[in-house]
Amino acid sequence: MAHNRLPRIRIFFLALSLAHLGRPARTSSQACCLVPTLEGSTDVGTNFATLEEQFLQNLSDSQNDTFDPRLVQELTTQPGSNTCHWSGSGLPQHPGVSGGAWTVGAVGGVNHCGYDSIGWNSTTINLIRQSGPSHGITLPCGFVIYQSMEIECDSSVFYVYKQNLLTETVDVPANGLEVCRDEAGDGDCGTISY
Amino acid sequence: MRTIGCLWLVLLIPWNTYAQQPQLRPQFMRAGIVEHHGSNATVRANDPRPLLQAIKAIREEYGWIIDYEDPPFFSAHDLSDDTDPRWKAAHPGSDPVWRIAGSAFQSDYPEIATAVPSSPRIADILQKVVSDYNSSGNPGKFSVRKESSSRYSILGTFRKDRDGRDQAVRSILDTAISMPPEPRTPVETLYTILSILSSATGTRVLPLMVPTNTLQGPLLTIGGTGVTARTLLLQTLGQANPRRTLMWDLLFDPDPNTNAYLMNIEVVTKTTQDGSGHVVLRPLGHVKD
Repeated sequence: MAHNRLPRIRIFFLALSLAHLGRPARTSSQACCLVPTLEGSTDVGTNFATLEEQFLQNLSDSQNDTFDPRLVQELTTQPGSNTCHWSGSGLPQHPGVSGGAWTVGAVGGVNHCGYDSIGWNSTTINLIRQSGPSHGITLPCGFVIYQSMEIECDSSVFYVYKQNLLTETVDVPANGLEVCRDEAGDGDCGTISY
Repeated sequence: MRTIGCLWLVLLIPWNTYAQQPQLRPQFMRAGIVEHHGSNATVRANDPRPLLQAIKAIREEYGWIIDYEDPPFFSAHDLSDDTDPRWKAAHPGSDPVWRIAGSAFQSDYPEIATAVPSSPRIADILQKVVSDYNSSGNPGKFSVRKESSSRYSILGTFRKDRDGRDQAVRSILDTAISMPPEPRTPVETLYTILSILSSATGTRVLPLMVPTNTLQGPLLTIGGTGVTARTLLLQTLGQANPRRTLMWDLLFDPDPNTNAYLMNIEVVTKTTQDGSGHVVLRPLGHVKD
């Protein structure tokens, strides 16, 4: 998907992305059931009520197996970073995922699920733009979240099949917002004019 | 001594982000820490809101369900000038911006072997931590309220007035409001409650960090006449997701730019280790009251 770049902190995010992807995947257990080996993301647009970008997830493996209607969920396995944070702001210094869970096949067709809604709402963006600079924040700023995706094998065992970087870049209104899910891999990005 | 909980945050994050901060500004802890000493534990914090940082560490250590609410700070006795020196130099004559004036805090408490959310001894531990905070000299005074068999609120009950004396305040969430019980998504329900509460009180209460992924559940029909905002919030969070337990932090931002309450909604998590020994924050399942 074509989108405008916000280059000043792009290199920082890309460096973090490459460093993270070089690590072996963490698993909550050995694979004890059929698990996906690939996961892609497609940006399907903005929810303007919450200013979040929505991503459809697509699971697959080399055998074209079906993962419907298994449960997948997101997990924080490593603290994120937030260059828009100042002490006392109420913004998380080390953001993580919000604990979403999805049923495969419920949205978007076979082996799809979603939506993974990513981004800060208007209150947060306004707070950062209006109060951040006087507290020492330089725009553009943004967050990096380390998202581990795991699939349910049975009611108590999950298997981590993918790790993604979730990012948002907040700039002045003329440059807007950019939200990405696994930009360095099979992911996608979206821009929001706000 | 065994130290886990939020310590991993302290260890894993590089220090280079502080290089962006002016040299003379205070250095705070990145997260609270719970230290275990046999049958006792110590929680340590250093933050503009040290009680909140301590409570966050306790929540994640034990998976307890604890809502937190600031008093509406406004006095210079509770606030510190947080204006960035470079910004101030570039904007001479501009008004300062503020943060809550908290700093270091610690509390020792007897630890519970089986610290499940419904344990009746949790109230005693929270009372001890809050009592220690109230005598620490940090901003505000707080109290503990038991909301249900497994849920607690830490409420800001005093702030300083202009002369530095303690002034009692009432939680804004105890304001009675009226909301038509129409079908709404969980996110719409939350935003509607806060909007009506803002109109009823004349004080803005805004949603800040909202975990939309956990609020994608079915439509809720929540409302009533003369019901406290707290009751409506508890109903909303209790029904929003059958797999997750949700809680809130209600923060007052005294900055002239904001001058409002900001609400963060969070999923209750507990510090655990995965199969490879890595420390992870795993969401707690849905806890019914």
